Amino acid sequence: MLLQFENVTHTYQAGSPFQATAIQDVTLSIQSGEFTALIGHTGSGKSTLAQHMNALLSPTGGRVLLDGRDINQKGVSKKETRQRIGLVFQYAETQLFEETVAKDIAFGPKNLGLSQAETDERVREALSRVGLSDEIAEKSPFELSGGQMRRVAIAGVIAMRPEMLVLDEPAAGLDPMGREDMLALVKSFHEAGTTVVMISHSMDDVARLAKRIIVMEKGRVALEGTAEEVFRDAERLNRMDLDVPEVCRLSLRLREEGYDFPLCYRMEDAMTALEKLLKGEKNG
Amino acid sequence: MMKNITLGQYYPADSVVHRLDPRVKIVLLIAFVVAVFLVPDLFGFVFVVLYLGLSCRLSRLPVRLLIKSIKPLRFILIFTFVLNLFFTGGKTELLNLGFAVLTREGLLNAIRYSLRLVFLVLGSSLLTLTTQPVTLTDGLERLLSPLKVIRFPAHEMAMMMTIALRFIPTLLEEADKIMKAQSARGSDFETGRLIQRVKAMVPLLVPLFVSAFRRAGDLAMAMEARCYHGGEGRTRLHILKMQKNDWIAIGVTALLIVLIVLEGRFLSGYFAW
Repeated sequence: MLLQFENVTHTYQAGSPFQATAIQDVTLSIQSGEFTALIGHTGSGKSTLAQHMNALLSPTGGRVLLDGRDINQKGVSKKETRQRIGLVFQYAETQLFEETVAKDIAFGPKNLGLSQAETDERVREALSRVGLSDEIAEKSPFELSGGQMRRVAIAGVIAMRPEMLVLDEPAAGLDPMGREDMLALVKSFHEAGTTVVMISHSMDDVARLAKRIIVMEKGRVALEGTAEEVFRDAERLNRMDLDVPEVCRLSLRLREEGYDFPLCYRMEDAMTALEKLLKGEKNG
Repeated sequence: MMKNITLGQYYPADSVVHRLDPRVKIVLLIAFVVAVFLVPDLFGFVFVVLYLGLSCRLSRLPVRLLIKSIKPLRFILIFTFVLNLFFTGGKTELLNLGFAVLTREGLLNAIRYSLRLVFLVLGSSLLTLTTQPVTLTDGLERLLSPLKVIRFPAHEMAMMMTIALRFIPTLLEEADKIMKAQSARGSDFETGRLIQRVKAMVPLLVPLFVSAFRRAGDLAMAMEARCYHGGEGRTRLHILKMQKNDWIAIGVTALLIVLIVLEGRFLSGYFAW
Protein backbone atom coordinates (compact mmCIF):
# COMPACT_ATOMS: atom_id res chain seq x y z
CA MET A 1 0.00 0.00 0.00
CA LEU A 2 1.15 3.47 -0.80
CA LEU A 3 -0.47 6.70 0.22
CA GLN A 4 0.57 9.81 -1.66
CA PHE A 5 -0.19 13.47 -1.24
CA GLU A 6 0.28 15.57 -4.35
CA ASN A 7 0.38 19.32 -3.75
CA VAL A 8 -2.51 19.07 -1.33
CA THR A 9 -3.97 22.34 -0.14
CA HIS A 10 -6.94 22.78 2.12
CA THR A 11 -8.68 26.06 2.76
CA TYR A 12 -11.48 26.19 5.30
CA GLN A 13 -14.52 28.31 4.46
CA ALA A 14 -13.03 29.44 1.19
CA GLY A 15 -14.54 32.63 -0.12
CA SER A 16 -15.90 33.78 3.23
CA PRO A 17 -14.28 36.48 5.34
CA PHE A 18 -13.18 33.70 7.68
CA GLN A 19 -11.24 31.67 5.17
CA ALA A 20 -8.14 30.02 6.51
CA THR A 21 -5.63 27.84 4.74
CA ALA A 22 -4.75 24.97 7.03
CA ILE A 23 -2.38 23.09 4.77
CA GLN A 24 -0.66 24.30 1.69
CA ASP A 25 1.03 22.47 -1.12
CA VAL A 26 1.79 19.33 0.86
CA THR A 27 3.52 16.59 -1.07
CA LEU A 28 4.53 13.42 0.71
CA SER A 29 4.16 9.69 0.57
CA ILE A 30 3.71 6.98 3.14
CA GLN A 31 4.88 3.47 2.33
CA SER A 32 3.52 0.22 3.57
CA GLY A 33 4.98 -0.84 6.91
CA GLU A 34 6.44 2.52 7.83
CA PHE A 35 6.20 4.21 11.19
CA THR A 36 5.89 7.89 10.46
CA ALA A 37 5.54 10.66 12.98
CA LEU A 38 3.87 13.91 12.17
CA ILE A 39 5.01 16.70 14.42
CA GLY A 40 4.35 20.39 14.57
CA HIS A 41 2.74 23.07 16.64
CA THR A 42 -0.91 23.50 17.43
CA GLY A 43 -2.41 24.95 14.27
CA SER A 44 0.38 23.73 12.02
CA GLY A 45 -2.09 21.64 10.07
CA LYS A 46 -1.30 18.18 11.43
CA SER A 47 -4.87 17.20 12.14
CA THR A 48 -6.14 18.62 8.87
CA LEU A 49 -3.50 16.62 7.08
CA ALA A 50 -4.53 13.48 8.95
CA GLN A 51 -8.17 13.94 7.98
CA HIS A 52 -7.18 13.96 4.33
CA MET A 53 -5.65 10.51 4.68
CA ASN A 54 -9.00 8.74 4.80
CA ALA A 55 -11.08 11.20 2.81
CA LEU A 56 -12.81 12.80 5.79
CA LEU A 57 -11.72 16.04 4.23
CA SER A 58 -11.16 16.46 0.56
CA PRO A 59 -8.44 18.80 -0.63
CA THR A 60 -9.37 22.16 -2.08
CA GLY A 61 -6.30 21.76 -4.28
CA GLY A 62 -4.16 18.79 -5.23
CA ARG A 63 -4.84 15.07 -4.91
CA VAL A 64 -4.57 12.26 -2.39
CA LEU A 65 -3.73 8.92 -3.95
CA LEU A 66 -4.07 5.48 -2.42
CA ASP A 67 -2.25 2.89 -4.51
CA GLY A 68 -2.28 5.38 -7.33
CA ARG A 69 -6.01 6.07 -7.23
CA ASP A 70 -7.48 9.43 -6.24
CA ILE A 71 -9.52 8.69 -3.11
CA ASN A 72 -11.80 11.66 -3.63
CA GLN A 73 -12.75 10.71 -7.15
CA LYS A 74 -16.34 9.82 -7.90
CA GLY A 75 -16.86 6.10 -7.80
CA VAL A 76 -14.09 5.44 -5.30
CA SER A 77 -15.70 4.03 -2.18
CA LYS A 78 -15.04 6.22 0.84
CA LYS A 79 -16.06 3.36 3.09
CA GLU A 80 -13.38 1.16 1.61
CA THR A 81 -10.76 3.86 2.03
CA ARG A 82 -11.79 4.34 5.64
CA GLN A 83 -11.66 0.62 6.27
CA ARG A 84 -8.14 0.42 4.88
CA ILE A 85 -6.92 3.52 6.67
CA GLY A 86 -8.13 3.75 10.25
CA LEU A 87 -8.11 7.14 11.91
CA VAL A 88 -8.05 7.49 15.67
CA PHE A 89 -8.93 11.02 16.69
CA GLN A 90 -7.46 12.95 19.56
CA TYR A 91 -9.35 12.15 22.78
CA ALA A 92 -10.98 9.30 20.91
CA GLU A 93 -12.93 8.27 24.01
CA THR A 94 -15.41 11.05 23.33
CA GLN A 95 -16.82 9.10 20.40
CA LEU A 96 -18.12 6.18 22.50
CA PHE A 97 -21.90 5.92 22.48
CA GLU A 98 -23.13 2.35 22.82
CA GLU A 99 -24.55 0.59 25.85
CA THR A 100 -21.73 -1.92 26.03
CA VAL A 101 -18.10 -1.95 25.09
CA ALA A 102 -18.65 -4.86 22.71
CA LYS A 103 -21.45 -3.08 20.87
CA ASP A 104 -19.36 0.03 20.52
CA ILE A 105 -16.43 -1.83 19.05
CA ALA A 106 -18.86 -3.64 16.73
CA PHE A 107 -20.03 -0.34 15.25
CA GLY A 108 -17.28 -0.22 12.63
CA PRO A 109 -17.50 -3.86 11.50
CA LYS A 110 -21.31 -3.57 11.35
CA ASN A 111 -21.01 -0.52 9.13
CA LEU A 112 -18.83 -2.58 6.85
CA GLY A 113 -21.71 -5.03 6.56
CA LEU A 114 -20.00 -7.98 8.22
CA SER A 115 -21.95 -10.92 9.60
CA GLN A 116 -22.69 -11.22 13.32
CA ALA A 117 -20.23 -14.10 13.73
CA GLU A 118 -17.47 -12.23 11.94
CA THR A 119 -18.23 -9.09 13.96
CA ASP A 120 -18.07 -10.98 17.27
CA GLU A 121 -14.78 -12.48 16.24
CA ARG A 122 -13.37 -9.08 15.41
CA VAL A 123 -14.58 -7.53 18.64
CA ARG A 124 -12.80 -10.21 20.63
CA GLU A 125 -9.65 -9.82 18.58
CA ALA A 126 -9.67 -6.02 18.87
CA LEU A 127 -10.18 -6.16 22.62
CA SER A 128 -7.20 -8.41 23.10
CA ARG A 129 -5.07 -6.33 20.74
CA VAL A 130 -5.60 -3.22 22.83
CA GLY A 131 -4.89 -5.21 25.96
CA LEU A 132 -8.34 -5.28 27.50
CA SER A 133 -9.88 -8.37 29.03
CA ASP A 134 -13.05 -9.99 27.72
CA GLU A 135 -14.76 -9.24 31.01
CA ILE A 136 -15.31 -5.59 30.23
CA ALA A 137 -16.99 -6.41 26.92
CA GLU A 138 -20.44 -6.31 28.49
CA LYS A 139 -19.77 -3.26 30.63
CA SER A 140 -20.92 0.20 29.72
CA PRO A 141 -18.05 2.18 28.21
CA PHE A 142 -18.97 5.07 30.51
CA GLU A 143 -18.04 3.05 33.60
CA LEU A 144 -14.44 2.64 32.49
CA SER A 145 -11.42 4.74 33.36
CA GLY A 146 -10.20 7.35 30.87
CA GLY A 147 -7.32 5.20 29.68
CA GLN A 148 -9.58 2.19 29.21
CA MET A 149 -12.12 4.26 27.33
CA ARG A 150 -9.46 5.38 24.92
CA ARG A 151 -8.41 1.79 24.38
CA VAL A 152 -11.97 0.84 23.63
CA ALA A 153 -12.17 3.67 21.09
CA ILE A 154 -8.96 2.49 19.46
CA ALA A 155 -10.30 -1.06 19.45
CA GLY A 156 -13.30 0.30 17.56
CA VAL A 157 -10.99 1.33 14.75
CA ILE A 158 -8.76 -1.75 14.96
CA ALA A 159 -11.83 -3.96 14.59
CA MET A 160 -12.10 -2.78 10.99
CA ARG A 161 -8.66 -4.35 10.39
CA PRO A 162 -7.08 -1.34 8.76
CA GLU A 163 -3.82 -1.70 6.87
CA MET A 164 -2.79 1.69 8.10
CA LEU A 165 -3.51 3.40 11.36
CA VAL A 166 -3.40 7.16 11.81
CA LEU A 167 -3.36 8.21 15.45
CA ASP A 168 -3.83 11.81 16.48
CA GLU A 169 -2.03 12.40 19.78
CA PRO A 170 -2.91 8.97 21.18
CA ALA A 171 -1.21 9.68 24.50
CA ALA A 172 -2.63 13.15 25.10
CA GLY A 173 -4.05 13.70 28.56
CA LEU A 174 -2.94 10.38 30.00
CA ASP A 175 -0.87 10.02 33.15
CA PRO A 176 2.82 9.04 32.72
CA MET A 177 2.04 5.36 33.20
CA GLY A 178 -0.85 5.53 30.74
CA ARG A 179 1.38 7.30 28.22
CA GLU A 180 3.96 4.54 28.37
CA ASP A 181 1.30 1.88 27.94
CA MET A 182 -0.29 3.75 25.06
CA LEU A 183 3.01 4.18 23.22
CA ALA A 184 3.80 0.51 23.78
CA LEU A 185 0.40 -0.27 22.29
CA VAL A 186 1.07 1.85 19.22
CA LYS A 187 4.42 0.14 18.85
CA SER A 188 2.75 -3.26 19.03
CA PHE A 189 0.42 -2.31 16.17
CA HIS A 190 3.40 -1.42 14.05
CA GLU A 191 5.19 -4.63 14.93
CA ALA A 192 2.12 -6.59 13.93
CA GLY A 193 2.50 -5.20 10.43
CA THR A 194 0.23 -2.15 10.47
CA THR A 195 1.53 0.99 8.84
CA VAL A 196 1.44 3.68 11.49
CA VAL A 197 1.23 7.45 11.28
CA MET A 198 1.36 9.08 14.69
CA ILE A 199 0.69 12.73 15.30
CA SER A 200 2.44 14.05 18.34
CA HIS A 201 4.15 17.04 19.74
CA SER A 202 6.23 15.14 22.19
CA MET A 203 9.66 14.88 20.63
CA ASP A 204 10.74 12.20 23.07
CA ASP A 205 7.86 9.92 22.09
CA VAL A 206 8.49 10.53 18.44
CA ALA A 207 12.21 9.90 18.70
CA ARG A 208 11.64 6.59 20.42
CA LEU A 209 9.17 5.15 17.97
CA ALA A 210 9.27 6.69 14.54
CA LYS A 211 11.61 5.82 11.72
CA ARG A 212 10.52 8.75 9.69
CA ILE A 213 9.55 12.20 10.83
CA ILE A 214 7.58 14.85 9.04
CA VAL A 215 7.67 18.30 10.60
CA MET A 216 4.84 20.64 9.78
CA GLU A 217 4.99 24.37 10.11
CA LYS A 218 2.26 26.81 9.17
CA GLY A 219 0.55 24.29 6.93
CA ARG A 220 3.64 23.26 5.03
CA VAL A 221 6.07 20.39 5.34
CA ALA A 222 9.09 22.08 6.89
CA LEU A 223 11.35 19.10 7.39
CA GLU A 224 11.17 15.49 6.44
CA GLY A 225 13.52 12.59 6.98
CA THR A 226 14.76 9.95 9.36
CA ALA A 227 14.91 10.79 13.04
CA GLU A 228 18.66 11.42 12.79
CA GLU A 229 18.27 13.76 9.87
CA VAL A 230 15.54 15.77 11.49
CA PHE A 231 17.02 16.06 14.96
CA ARG A 232 20.47 16.96 13.66
CA ASP A 233 18.88 20.24 12.65
CA ALA A 234 18.17 21.20 16.23
CA GLU A 235 18.57 24.86 15.52
CA ARG A 236 16.00 24.87 12.80
CA LEU A 237 13.56 23.02 15.04
CA ASN A 238 14.20 25.55 17.75
CA ARG A 239 13.45 28.33 15.34
CA MET A 240 10.08 26.71 14.75
CA ASP A 241 9.61 26.71 18.51
CA LEU A 242 9.91 22.95 18.53
CA ASP A 243 12.16 21.08 20.82
CA VAL A 244 14.55 18.28 20.09
CA PRO A 245 14.33 15.31 22.48
CA GLU A 246 16.12 15.85 25.75
CA VAL A 247 18.65 13.14 24.99
CA CYS A 248 19.33 14.83 21.72
CA ARG A 249 19.93 18.14 23.43
CA LEU A 250 22.39 16.47 25.75
CA SER A 251 24.39 14.95 22.91
CA LEU A 252 24.40 18.18 20.93
CA ARG A 253 25.66 20.02 23.97
CA LEU A 254 28.42 17.47 24.56
CA ARG A 255 29.52 17.81 20.96
CA GLU A 256 29.57 21.55 21.36
CA GLU A 257 31.88 21.14 24.30
CA GLY A 258 34.25 19.22 22.09
CA TYR A 259 33.47 15.67 23.11
CA ASP A 260 33.45 12.95 20.54
CA PHE A 261 29.84 11.99 21.02
CA PRO A 262 27.36 10.60 18.53
CA LEU A 263 24.04 12.34 17.95
CA CYS A 264 21.62 10.23 19.94
CA TYR A 265 17.90 10.59 20.16
CA ARG A 266 17.04 7.45 22.11
CA MET A 267 17.80 7.12 25.77
CA GLU A 268 19.40 3.69 25.31
CA ASP A 269 21.84 4.89 22.67
CA ALA A 270 22.85 7.83 24.79
CA MET A 271 23.47 5.58 27.75
CA THR A 272 25.80 3.34 25.76
CA ALA A 273 27.63 6.31 24.30
CA LEU A 274 27.97 7.95 27.70
CA GLU A 275 29.33 4.79 29.22
CA LYS A 276 31.90 4.58 26.47
CA LEU A 277 32.82 8.20 26.92
CA LEU A 278 33.21 7.88 30.68
CA LYS A 279 35.34 4.78 30.32
CA GLY A 280 37.55 6.54 27.81
CA GLU A 281 37.99 9.49 30.17
CA LYS A 282 39.04 7.18 32.96
CA ASN A 283 41.59 5.38 30.83
CA GLY A 284 42.93 8.53 29.30
CA MET B 1 -10.77 24.35 12.86
CA MET B 2 -14.34 25.53 12.99
CA LYS B 3 -13.48 28.27 15.39
CA ASN B 4 -14.71 30.86 12.96
CA ILE B 5 -18.34 29.94 12.98
CA THR B 6 -20.34 33.12 12.95
CA LEU B 7 -22.49 33.30 16.01
CA GLY B 8 -25.86 34.48 14.88
CA GLN B 9 -24.98 36.79 12.03
CA TYR B 10 -22.92 39.46 13.72
CA TYR B 11 -20.90 41.45 11.20
CA PRO B 12 -17.85 42.92 12.88
CA ALA B 13 -17.25 46.57 12.05
CA ASP B 14 -16.52 49.76 13.89
CA SER B 15 -19.44 52.08 13.34
CA VAL B 16 -21.79 54.44 15.11
CA VAL B 17 -24.55 51.88 14.95
CA HIS B 18 -22.34 49.12 16.32
CA ARG B 19 -21.42 51.28 19.27
CA LEU B 20 -24.97 52.23 20.21
CA ASP B 21 -26.20 51.11 23.58
CA PRO B 22 -27.78 47.66 23.16
CA ARG B 23 -30.77 48.74 25.29
CA VAL B 24 -31.39 51.62 22.93
CA LYS B 25 -31.08 49.39 19.92
CA ILE B 26 -33.62 46.91 21.27
CA VAL B 27 -36.11 49.64 22.12
CA LEU B 28 -35.56 51.31 18.76
CA LEU B 29 -36.24 48.03 16.99
CA ILE B 30 -39.56 47.78 18.81
CA ALA B 31 -40.32 51.38 17.86
CA PHE B 32 -39.37 50.63 14.29
CA VAL B 33 -41.73 47.65 14.18
CA VAL B 34 -44.53 49.88 15.46
CA ALA B 35 -43.65 52.46 12.83
CA VAL B 36 -43.81 49.87 10.06
CA PHE B 37 -47.29 48.90 11.20
CA LEU B 38 -48.38 52.52 11.41
CA VAL B 39 -47.57 53.13 7.77
CA PRO B 40 -51.00 53.87 6.23
CA ASP B 41 -50.19 53.69 2.55
CA LEU B 42 -47.43 52.84 0.15
CA PHE B 43 -46.07 56.37 0.16
CA GLY B 44 -45.37 56.09 3.87
CA PHE B 45 -42.82 53.39 3.19
CA VAL B 46 -40.57 56.04 1.68
CA PHE B 47 -39.74 57.18 5.21
CA VAL B 48 -39.06 53.62 6.29
CA VAL B 49 -36.73 53.08 3.35
CA LEU B 50 -34.91 56.32 4.10
CA TYR B 51 -34.55 55.37 7.74
CA LEU B 52 -33.23 51.89 6.93
CA GLY B 53 -30.92 53.26 4.26
CA LEU B 54 -29.46 55.74 6.66
CA SER B 55 -28.94 53.11 9.37
CA CYS B 56 -27.39 50.72 6.90
CA ARG B 57 -25.04 53.43 5.64
CA LEU B 58 -24.04 54.47 9.14
CA SER B 59 -23.44 50.89 10.23
CA ARG B 60 -21.08 50.24 7.29
CA LEU B 61 -22.81 46.98 6.48
CA PRO B 62 -22.61 45.65 2.96
CA VAL B 63 -26.14 46.07 1.60
CA ARG B 64 -25.83 42.59 0.11
CA LEU B 65 -25.67 41.14 3.62
CA LEU B 66 -28.83 42.88 4.67
CA ILE B 67 -30.68 41.82 1.54
CA LYS B 68 -29.54 38.26 2.09
CA SER B 69 -31.41 38.15 5.37
CA ILE B 70 -34.72 38.20 3.50
CA LYS B 71 -33.87 35.04 1.62
CA PRO B 72 -35.05 32.51 4.21
CA LEU B 73 -38.38 34.31 4.19
CA ARG B 74 -39.05 34.09 0.49
CA PHE B 75 -41.72 31.40 0.68
CA ILE B 76 -43.66 33.17 3.40
CA LEU B 77 -43.38 36.33 1.35
CA ILE B 78 -44.76 34.73 -1.77
CA PHE B 79 -47.48 33.08 0.29
CA THR B 80 -48.48 36.38 1.92
CA PHE B 81 -48.46 38.16 -1.39
CA VAL B 82 -50.61 35.63 -3.20
CA LEU B 83 -53.02 35.22 -0.33
CA ASN B 84 -53.62 38.95 -0.02
CA LEU B 85 -53.77 39.34 -3.74
CA PHE B 86 -56.78 37.09 -4.18
CA PHE B 87 -58.56 37.12 -0.85
CA THR B 88 -58.77 40.75 0.04
CA GLY B 89 -61.97 41.33 -1.84
CA GLY B 90 -62.72 44.89 -2.90
CA LYS B 91 -64.66 46.44 -5.70
CA THR B 92 -62.26 47.64 -8.35
CA GLU B 93 -61.76 44.67 -10.59
CA LEU B 94 -58.47 44.60 -12.45
CA LEU B 95 -58.44 41.13 -13.85
CA ASN B 96 -60.94 38.31 -13.84
CA LEU B 97 -59.36 34.90 -14.11
CA GLY B 98 -62.60 33.08 -13.71
CA PHE B 99 -61.63 31.08 -10.63
CA ALA B 100 -60.24 34.16 -8.92
CA VAL B 101 -60.64 37.87 -9.17
CA LEU B 102 -57.78 40.26 -8.98
CA THR B 103 -58.79 43.56 -7.47
CA ARG B 104 -57.02 46.85 -7.04
CA GLU B 105 -57.45 46.64 -3.28
CA GLY B 106 -56.02 43.15 -3.28
CA LEU B 107 -52.97 44.24 -5.21
CA LEU B 108 -52.32 47.16 -2.87
CA ASN B 109 -52.84 45.01 0.19
CA ALA B 110 -50.51 42.33 -1.14
CA ILE B 111 -47.78 44.87 -1.77
CA ARG B 112 -48.32 46.49 1.61
CA TYR B 113 -48.20 43.31 3.65
CA SER B 114 -45.20 41.92 1.81
CA LEU B 115 -43.33 45.18 2.26
CA ARG B 116 -44.15 45.17 5.95
CA LEU B 117 -42.71 41.71 6.33
CA VAL B 118 -39.60 42.66 4.40
CA PHE B 119 -39.01 45.72 6.52
CA LEU B 120 -39.59 43.83 9.76
CA VAL B 121 -36.91 41.34 8.79
CA LEU B 122 -34.54 44.02 7.56
CA GLY B 123 -34.95 45.97 10.79
CA SER B 124 -34.29 43.04 13.07
CA SER B 125 -31.39 41.88 10.90
CA LEU B 126 -29.89 45.32 11.27
CA LEU B 127 -29.96 44.79 15.01
CA THR B 128 -28.43 41.31 14.99
CA LEU B 129 -25.88 42.20 12.34
CA THR B 130 -24.54 45.11 14.32
CA THR B 131 -24.80 43.72 17.85
CA GLN B 132 -22.94 40.80 19.33
CA PRO B 133 -25.33 38.25 20.83
CA VAL B 134 -23.73 38.57 24.23
CA THR B 135 -24.11 42.34 24.16
CA LEU B 136 -27.69 41.84 23.14
CA THR B 137 -28.48 39.62 26.11
CA ASP B 138 -26.72 42.12 28.32
CA GLY B 139 -28.99 44.86 27.03
CA LEU B 140 -32.01 42.64 27.42
CA GLU B 141 -31.09 41.93 31.01
CA ARG B 142 -30.91 45.63 31.79
CA LEU B 143 -34.19 46.30 30.06
CA LEU B 144 -35.93 43.53 31.96
CA SER B 145 -34.35 44.25 35.33
CA PRO B 146 -37.21 46.47 36.52
CA LEU B 147 -39.31 43.30 36.36
CA LYS B 148 -37.25 41.91 39.22
CA VAL B 149 -39.79 43.60 41.45
CA ILE B 150 -42.28 40.97 40.42
CA ARG B 151 -39.61 38.29 40.86
CA PHE B 152 -38.81 37.94 37.19
CA PRO B 153 -35.30 36.37 37.08
CA ALA B 154 -33.83 38.85 34.58
CA HIS B 155 -30.20 38.22 35.46
CA GLU B 156 -30.55 34.45 35.49
CA MET B 157 -32.33 34.48 32.15
CA ALA B 158 -29.63 36.61 30.59
CA MET B 159 -26.90 34.42 32.07
CA MET B 160 -28.52 31.31 30.65
CA MET B 161 -28.80 32.91 27.25
CA THR B 162 -25.20 34.06 27.35
CA ILE B 163 -23.96 30.61 28.31
CA ALA B 164 -26.10 28.96 25.65
CA LEU B 165 -24.75 31.33 23.02
CA ARG B 166 -21.21 30.85 24.25
CA PHE B 167 -21.43 27.10 23.82
CA ILE B 168 -23.00 26.97 20.38
CA PRO B 169 -19.65 27.13 18.54
CA THR B 170 -18.07 24.75 21.02
CA LEU B 171 -20.79 22.17 20.54
CA LEU B 172 -20.75 22.59 16.78
CA GLU B 173 -17.04 21.97 16.77
CA GLU B 174 -17.56 18.93 18.95
CA ALA B 175 -20.36 17.64 16.71
CA ASP B 176 -18.12 18.03 13.69
CA LYS B 177 -15.36 16.08 15.37
CA ILE B 178 -17.60 13.24 16.53
CA MET B 179 -19.26 13.07 13.14
CA LYS B 180 -15.86 12.65 11.54
CA ALA B 181 -14.80 10.08 14.11
CA GLN B 182 -17.91 8.00 13.40
CA SER B 183 -17.45 8.44 9.65
CA ALA B 184 -13.95 7.09 10.10
CA ARG B 185 -15.64 3.97 11.48
CA GLY B 186 -17.74 3.66 8.36
CA SER B 187 -20.81 5.52 9.55
CA ASP B 188 -22.80 7.23 6.83
CA PHE B 189 -24.57 10.48 7.64
CA GLU B 190 -25.29 11.62 4.14
CA THR B 191 -27.22 8.96 2.29
CA GLY B 192 -30.00 6.55 3.04
CA ARG B 193 -33.68 6.80 3.83
CA LEU B 194 -35.02 9.08 6.49
CA ILE B 195 -35.20 6.36 9.14
CA GLN B 196 -31.63 5.29 8.46
CA ARG B 197 -30.47 8.86 8.69
CA VAL B 198 -32.22 9.37 11.98
CA LYS B 199 -30.65 6.17 13.24
CA ALA B 200 -27.25 7.39 12.08
CA MET B 201 -27.67 10.37 14.40
CA VAL B 202 -27.58 8.21 17.54
CA PRO B 203 -23.80 7.71 17.47
CA LEU B 204 -23.49 11.47 17.10
CA LEU B 205 -26.04 12.63 19.65
CA VAL B 206 -25.10 10.33 22.53
CA PRO B 207 -21.46 11.48 22.71
CA LEU B 208 -22.57 15.05 22.15
CA PHE B 209 -24.96 14.93 25.11
CA VAL B 210 -22.39 13.20 27.28
CA SER B 211 -19.88 15.93 26.57
CA ALA B 212 -22.43 18.73 26.95
CA PHE B 213 -23.36 17.46 30.41
CA ARG B 214 -19.72 17.10 31.34
CA ARG B 215 -19.06 20.64 30.19
CA ALA B 216 -22.06 21.93 32.08
CA GLY B 217 -20.80 20.28 35.26
CA ASP B 218 -17.32 21.71 34.77
CA LEU B 219 -18.68 25.16 34.11
CA ALA B 220 -20.94 25.09 37.17
CA MET B 221 -17.96 24.06 39.26
CA ALA B 222 -15.75 26.77 37.80
CA MET B 223 -18.42 29.41 38.42
CA GLU B 224 -18.95 28.30 41.99
CA ALA B 225 -15.22 28.26 42.56
CA ARG B 226 -15.31 31.94 41.72
CA CYS B 227 -18.18 32.54 44.12
CA TYR B 228 -20.92 33.08 41.57
CA HIS B 229 -24.24 33.22 43.36
CA GLY B 230 -26.66 34.83 40.96
CA GLY B 231 -27.33 38.42 40.12
CA GLU B 232 -27.79 39.96 43.51
CA GLY B 233 -25.17 42.57 44.32
CA ARG B 234 -23.20 41.68 41.23
CA THR B 235 -21.32 44.56 39.65
CA ARG B 236 -20.65 44.75 35.92
CA LEU B 237 -17.59 44.97 33.79
CA HIS B 238 -19.25 47.03 31.08
CA ILE B 239 -21.50 49.66 32.52
CA LEU B 240 -24.03 50.77 29.97
CA LYS B 241 -24.29 54.49 29.76
CA MET B 242 -26.31 56.56 27.35
CA GLN B 243 -24.14 58.58 25.00
CA LYS B 244 -24.93 61.49 22.76
CA ASN B 245 -25.32 59.18 19.79
CA ASP B 246 -27.91 57.12 21.64
CA TRP B 247 -30.06 60.20 22.12
CA ILE B 248 -29.63 61.16 18.48
CA ALA B 249 -30.70 57.69 17.39
CA ILE B 250 -33.79 57.93 19.59
CA GLY B 251 -34.54 61.34 18.11
CA VAL B 252 -34.24 60.12 14.52
CA THR B 253 -36.51 57.18 15.25
CA ALA B 254 -39.06 59.42 16.93
CA LEU B 255 -38.96 61.63 13.86
CA LEU B 256 -39.71 58.60 11.71
CA ILE B 257 -42.81 57.79 13.71
CA VAL B 258 -43.97 61.40 13.69
CA LEU B 259 -43.50 61.67 9.93
CA ILE B 260 -45.44 58.47 9.33
CA VAL B 261 -48.29 59.58 11.56
CA LEU B 262 -48.42 63.01 9.93
CA GLU B 263 -48.34 61.50 6.49
CA GLY B 264 -51.25 59.28 7.43
CA ARG B 265 -53.21 62.26 8.69
CA PHE B 266 -52.67 64.71 5.92
CA LEU B 267 -51.40 63.07 2.78
CA SER B 268 -52.97 59.66 2.90
CA GLY B 269 -56.08 60.64 0.99
CA TYR B 270 -54.09 62.70 -1.43
CA PHE B 271 -52.38 59.77 -3.08
CA ALA B 272 -55.10 57.31 -3.68
CA TRP B 273 -52.81 54.39 -2.85
